[in-house]
Amino acid sequence: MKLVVLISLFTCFTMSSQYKYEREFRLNVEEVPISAVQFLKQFQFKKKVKWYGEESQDGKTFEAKTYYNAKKYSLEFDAKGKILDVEIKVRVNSLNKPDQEMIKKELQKVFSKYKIKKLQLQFSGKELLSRIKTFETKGNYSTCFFELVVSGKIGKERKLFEILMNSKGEIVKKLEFKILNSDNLEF
Amino acid sequence: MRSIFIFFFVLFVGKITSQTNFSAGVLPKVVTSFKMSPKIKWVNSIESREFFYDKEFELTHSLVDVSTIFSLKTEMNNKLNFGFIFRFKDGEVEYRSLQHYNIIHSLEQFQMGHRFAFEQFYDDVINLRGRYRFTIQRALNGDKIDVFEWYLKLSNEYLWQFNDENLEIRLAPNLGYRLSKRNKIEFGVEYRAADFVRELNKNQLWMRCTMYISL
Repeated sequence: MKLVVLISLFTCFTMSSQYKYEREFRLNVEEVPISAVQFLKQFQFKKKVKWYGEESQDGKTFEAKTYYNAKKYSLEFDAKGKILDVEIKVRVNSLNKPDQEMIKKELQKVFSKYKIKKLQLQFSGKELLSRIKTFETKGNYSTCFFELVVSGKIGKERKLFEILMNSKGEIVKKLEFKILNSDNLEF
Repeated sequence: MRSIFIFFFVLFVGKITSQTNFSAGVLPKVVTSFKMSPKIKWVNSIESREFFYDKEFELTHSLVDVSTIFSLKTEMNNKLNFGFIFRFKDGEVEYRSLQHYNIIHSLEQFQMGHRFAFEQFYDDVINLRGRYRFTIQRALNGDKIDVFEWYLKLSNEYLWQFNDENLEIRLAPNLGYRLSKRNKIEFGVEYRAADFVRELNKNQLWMRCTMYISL
């Protein structure tokens, strides 16, 4: 009996943790750790930078959003202002053909039908700045992860997912979005 | 830019108040929804209509609409709604049935809703009405509407009376607040221009306050 309860609790926990939870709120630059603001100066962004606080299943973080070379940049920092990752929004057809094929093949393994709603290149780890510069100048993104928002059909139901895929095409994270209540758009 | 806005605003106010059939009032409404299964929701609402101007300034009660609707999720973002509206007016009850097809799009910073509706009014004859409403909303803080955050909502609706062959247009800007995970409140105005085809001779301006409660 105890085993059944334990298994049920574990199942409930793992099921609920598969959902993407995120709360985002606007911040003034004065409310952001100074090390994050200083890190951002290295990029010399010309467009306005908007700062946000974010609460998600990964904890509390800070996020800077701006545009550079006509691409949307999101830079995420931990609570102390240390850089976690840089995400750059790109179009799927801007990727190399083999990468497009790899993503397609991997998504076909998971979904019977799917549509990619959003794709971001996620840079993290060492030599972040130089790797992003290489991407901007030479288009080389070989060391990054792919973060995808996918509307996909599993069984008979279509759902929305956030998928993190490494450069080899392995899915390292898959979170389901909770569909927002849209009563006020319908009634 | 500001002078253009003031010019059109003065023109608009002058135009509607110069019409003989101008009226104004308040439309308080409560919408409750109850999830019966992952795909079916039961939605009930009550809306009162109170005039404070109808040819002269006077507070008068007009009617109460009570609706009951079953909402069936057909796809991730698509819903089919079927229901009835009971209108309590001057001691009598008018009946109306409705069918909606809703499409909701969630973009990065905006949510958009398309509502295609068909209604039947049961009187001596059955009057038919078709309507289409486009709604767009966005958070005022961040990309998503989180709890304790304000948002802006704008909707534009076109209603066609098949029997009378007449068009009505509605425009409604709203300011909303997400009170909790499940509940929202909205304040706004709604401008209605009716009898559009014959001549623009019926204008209404409503102050709206709507509470959405998800049980």
